[in-house]
Amino acid sequence: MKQNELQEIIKLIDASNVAEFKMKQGDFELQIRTKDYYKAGKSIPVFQSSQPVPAINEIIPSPSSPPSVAAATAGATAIEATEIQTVKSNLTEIKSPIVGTFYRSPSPDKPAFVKVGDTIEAGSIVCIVEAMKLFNEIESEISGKIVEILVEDATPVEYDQVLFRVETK
Amino acid sequence: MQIIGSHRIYLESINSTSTFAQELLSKSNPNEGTVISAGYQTSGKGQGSNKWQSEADKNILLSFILYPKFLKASKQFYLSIFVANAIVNWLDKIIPEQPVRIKWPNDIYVGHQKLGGILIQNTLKADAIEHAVIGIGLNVMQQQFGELSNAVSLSMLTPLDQTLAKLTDDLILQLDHYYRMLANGNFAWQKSAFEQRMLHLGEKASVSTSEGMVEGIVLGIGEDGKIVMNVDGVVRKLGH
Repeated sequence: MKQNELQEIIKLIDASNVAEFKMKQGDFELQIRTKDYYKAGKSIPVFQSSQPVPAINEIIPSPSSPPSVAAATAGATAIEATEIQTVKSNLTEIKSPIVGTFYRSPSPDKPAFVKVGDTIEAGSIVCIVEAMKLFNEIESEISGKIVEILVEDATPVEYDQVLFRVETK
Repeated sequence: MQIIGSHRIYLESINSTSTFAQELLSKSNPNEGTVISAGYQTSGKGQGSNKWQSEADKNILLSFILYPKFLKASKQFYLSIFVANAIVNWLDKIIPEQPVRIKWPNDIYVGHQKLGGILIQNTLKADAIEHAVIGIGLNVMQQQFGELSNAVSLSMLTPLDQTLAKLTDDLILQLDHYYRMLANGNFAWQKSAFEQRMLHLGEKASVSTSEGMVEGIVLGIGEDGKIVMNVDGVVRKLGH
């Protein structure tokens, strides 16, 4: 989710009478509770984030911050007592063990090793990273379902760059 | 104790010795150093989409399987280094008067003509190399190369009085020797030996890199196998 998309959502919610908003997109989950939610007698919200999401942290007021600060930062009108939760499900990342070029298939005329939605086992080959004419098949260490492929075919990858997100059981 | 060549498989004709090695690995636990050689490859792999053009029983076409536990994935170019060094040493004995060179990153040249190449396929699990299949193709007795006009064979460079089988056995001994030296930790020596035999070392040359053709003075390689060049007075490390 891009920051401007998130700002757009916050604007829309703020303009409405929505008390609580939840959405899920891939591995990203968003939950927003507005002042209307708390007027209904809920407890004081606590900002929670189980994984670092810097872009969100910047524009979400903590319960103690003045709403105007949040508004200035976000470019959105103030939302009092807003709570955003990012919920981490059972997601694991497959990272590149080397610097090189990422390939999704063994050769251009062959199908991709994996696509989004595929179930993989520990030991499954998920991609090739080529460097200096050494072709490296990358084995998954985990079993699960591919939920996201973060790199375009035939593009450079850095050491430790996230290639896939896998939902484990 | 011999590792590379401790076990040998010879096939008259095969689609590719590397593919055969990969199939062996997927179905069984082949011994480290198992060498698969072929008289003829129907779909041997050259660089990129280039097909290796080879006549039956005239060239060295082989692949071997390694489990290089001592080598981290980030140091994998040392596989290329030891194989190139072994081939150069083997060639130095056969054509001692000729300029045998390594064309970075993976080709073997004599002068400015290509004699062969190395193709390495690793399987990585996190930072470890689970197994490596190293493929070598070297032109030995072939005289015609069709459209690959830059290719050259050993028999075009010198009268050969040895059989292809004997030449192959000698190469395997060199590969084994250089691999065991690497396993014993002589990384710096191997890297330096590779650099000394690089094509255009110390000369201004146009080199194919991941940034396209780059002109500069070839200085050597980095630990990661990238080429080090002096480009307009700036020392740069470039990938392929």
